[in-house]
Amino acid sequence: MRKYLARRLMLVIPTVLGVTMIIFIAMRLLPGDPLVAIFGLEGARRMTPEQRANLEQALGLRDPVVVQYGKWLRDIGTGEFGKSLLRGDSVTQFVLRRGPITLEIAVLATLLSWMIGFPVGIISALRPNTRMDYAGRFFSILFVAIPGFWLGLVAVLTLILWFDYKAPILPVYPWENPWQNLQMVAGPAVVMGLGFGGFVARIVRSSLLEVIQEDYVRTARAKGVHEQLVIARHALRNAILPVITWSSLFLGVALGGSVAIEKAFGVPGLGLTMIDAILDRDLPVVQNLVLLYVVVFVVVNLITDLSYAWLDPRIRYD
Amino acid sequence: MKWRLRKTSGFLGLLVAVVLVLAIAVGPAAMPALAAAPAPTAQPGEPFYMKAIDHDKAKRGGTLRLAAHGPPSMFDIYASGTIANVGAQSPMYDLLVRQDPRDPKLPIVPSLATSWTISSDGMTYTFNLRKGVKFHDGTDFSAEDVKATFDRIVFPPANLLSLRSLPIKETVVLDRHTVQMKLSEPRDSYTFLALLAGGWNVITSKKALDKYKGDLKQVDNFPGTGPFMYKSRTTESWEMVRNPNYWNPYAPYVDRIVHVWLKAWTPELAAALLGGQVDWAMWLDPSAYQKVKANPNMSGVLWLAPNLSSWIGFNTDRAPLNDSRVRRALHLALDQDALSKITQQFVPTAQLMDYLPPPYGKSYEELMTEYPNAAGTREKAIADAKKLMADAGYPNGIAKTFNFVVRESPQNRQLAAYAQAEWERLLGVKTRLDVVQVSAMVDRQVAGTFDMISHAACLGGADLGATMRMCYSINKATGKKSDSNFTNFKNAEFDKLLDQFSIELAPQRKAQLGRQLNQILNNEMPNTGLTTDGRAYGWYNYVKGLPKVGGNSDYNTYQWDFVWLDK
Repeated sequence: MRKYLARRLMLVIPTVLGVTMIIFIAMRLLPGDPLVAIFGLEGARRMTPEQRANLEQALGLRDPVVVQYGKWLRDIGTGEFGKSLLRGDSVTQFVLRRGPITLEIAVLATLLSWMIGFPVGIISALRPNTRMDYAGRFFSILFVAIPGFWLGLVAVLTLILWFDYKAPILPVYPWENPWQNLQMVAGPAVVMGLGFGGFVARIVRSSLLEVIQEDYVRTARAKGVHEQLVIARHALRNAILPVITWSSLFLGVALGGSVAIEKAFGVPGLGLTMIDAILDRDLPVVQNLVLLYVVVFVVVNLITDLSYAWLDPRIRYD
Repeated sequence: MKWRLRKTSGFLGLLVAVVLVLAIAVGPAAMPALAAAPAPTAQPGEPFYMKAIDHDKAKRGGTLRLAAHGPPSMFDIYASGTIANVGAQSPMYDLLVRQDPRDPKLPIVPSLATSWTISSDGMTYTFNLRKGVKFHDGTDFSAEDVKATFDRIVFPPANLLSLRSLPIKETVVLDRHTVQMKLSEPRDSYTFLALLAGGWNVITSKKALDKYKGDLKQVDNFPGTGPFMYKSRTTESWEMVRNPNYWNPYAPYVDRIVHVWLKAWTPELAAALLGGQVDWAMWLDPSAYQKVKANPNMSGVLWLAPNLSSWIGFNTDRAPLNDSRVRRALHLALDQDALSKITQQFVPTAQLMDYLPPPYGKSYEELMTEYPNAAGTREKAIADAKKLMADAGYPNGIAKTFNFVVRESPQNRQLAAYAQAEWERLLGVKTRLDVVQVSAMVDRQVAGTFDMISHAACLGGADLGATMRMCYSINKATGKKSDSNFTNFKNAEFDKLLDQFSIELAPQRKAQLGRQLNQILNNEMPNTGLTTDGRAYGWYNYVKGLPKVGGNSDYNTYQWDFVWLDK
């Protein structure tokens, strides 16, 4: 297990480095003048060539590309993720301030997806081709199919136009005001949770249907084990692995910023930060947030892989 | 001309004096229309202190939440061209003189300067400064701070930017509370005072400017004397609290203001206002503005920005666009009012405008009833356009496909598509739309690598002569075309008249010169689609003390010192 962990950790380094190179090159290929972002159209236009040169020098834009890349890696190494071109804020400030909101939404959405997906999936699998199964499948497909941002917009518009209500728009943390915090994160978490829950229900159903046909389940039943125990101990434990894989992907996506849903709800999480930065060509923010998302994915995937061995005794890494 | 505000005068007397003197000095041509406004009174013996409209009923305290267009990308207000800076930072600072925030149609009123004298040649302004004023860091305000501020603005260090164009040759400290500005060329008093009253010329301390060597880009809390003080700034908002030592004993009325960053014209902005998360919002989209107007608990106002703004500029260096007949033909082929209608899908209102505002140019009402904009003259305009093309040697259109650079935005794309279709349909002029992102526009504008270009807006300002020079003439310091002269417009007669217009002090003569300048631009037609956009503001009725009419000012004159909350 330790060897496996060490090997996986070693692989993380080239993966992340490769990603930094791709991000860096992609950002350099995008059109855009950072000085316009900072000083506006009028400001950039009215600069003398000398002023432009001084400002570009100060921003490091006159350094060779390799040097710029090296400086970025150095900054990452020191935990200094650069500063937004369009805001007087650093990327670290964004992550520290908005990251907890996104984390909260992601965790809540994943938990909610299990709370919805497991019961629906189990009932569907145990009562196949019944009305309950059809209803479960219908709603699963419905929530998978409906784009989350659309559902979010409908929810926001309904609340505003019918109830003159809008959830808080400034970050409120659970330790500051749990009720306000819940108002802020509940909408995105429920919308994402419903979508993910549909997936989970589908996966649990198909996986469980497959498992309950296995010999060991038939044997357990033949030995007179109670049906609930058969499902809980023998079938579900094996059927859960694909759900864990999918859930880790969901969590990664949600942690990486539920971009469209945060935008729809206007929740100041990292997803909203990302989409605003992309639209504004705020390259340092895009560059560093993409890197953050990659790292999050890599770490979540690693934890997921390690959890397999714990969940399924047949899996051994050494 | 010489006048002085007496400390012993009542405010009503002062206001009348200001109005009369300016009326005599500047005359009706350059005077803003005076609106009937309540005249607050001041106690005898007090210097010039303003109060909120309805001061006697005003409640104190509370938090005012503003949906602000921001955040600023940096904090050097003198180097900034965006409202994100001036809007957010203004409450922490004072100006030397200011526009009356209670009614922007009133003349300039004192702020840190309590009175001033103007030499008869219009070249020297002497300001008497308010005494007993302190910066937020506790240092005393004096004439040295005014000099340091205007030196930073007018003569920025080589590595720093200043986007303000002030005709100041020298700022001289006469004594601790008297400062004199010597102008590089004359300006009529209204123009110069209105320039100083621009929200960008905030007074900061010499100590701070020395400490940071004039570079305030990273300094979000450089000390001011304003009604509100820095409290905290986050990635979403900027919070300021009441200055307990503010020099005006009546202001501010609220304890705290929070600027919440919400982008203009977005659903998020509308949702925040309509959902009650902010008390006031600027630059609403048309739909949100209609909802505000329909809500009995809310109010709104539309303000037409007096910018020299055109949607399409022609590169007058390139053939055949160097022929004014071709440019005029292209102009006539477009239904100018239709351009405004397209714009109205994106902004609450837009109006066709002349190159220069009245009294130099025509008003919207005049334009809409006269050729070529009147509905009944459209066919004649199209016939004239075709004749102009034939006269220029292009009776069957032009073989060349023009490069039409369009700034990326739904509004610009639609306007450009309309122009493209009409030019090809009516005149046989083909264009290729080259849609570019905003930051790539600068390169195209400066390099002149286009035939036509959209969003050829040229920002307005109090000094119309300076704005025209920036948009249609040469930079006198460099001898090259001005930085906002996208169309590469060159006209010797225009330049000569512009020189005279800028320094003319006599109102009648100035109006005559302005009309001549406007006529040249109409003949030469370097742009088409001259439109002024309306900006919509909305707020809840419990927010009191806001101007009830649109004026010649925007968020940049708001210090929020006379706003109070009725709740």
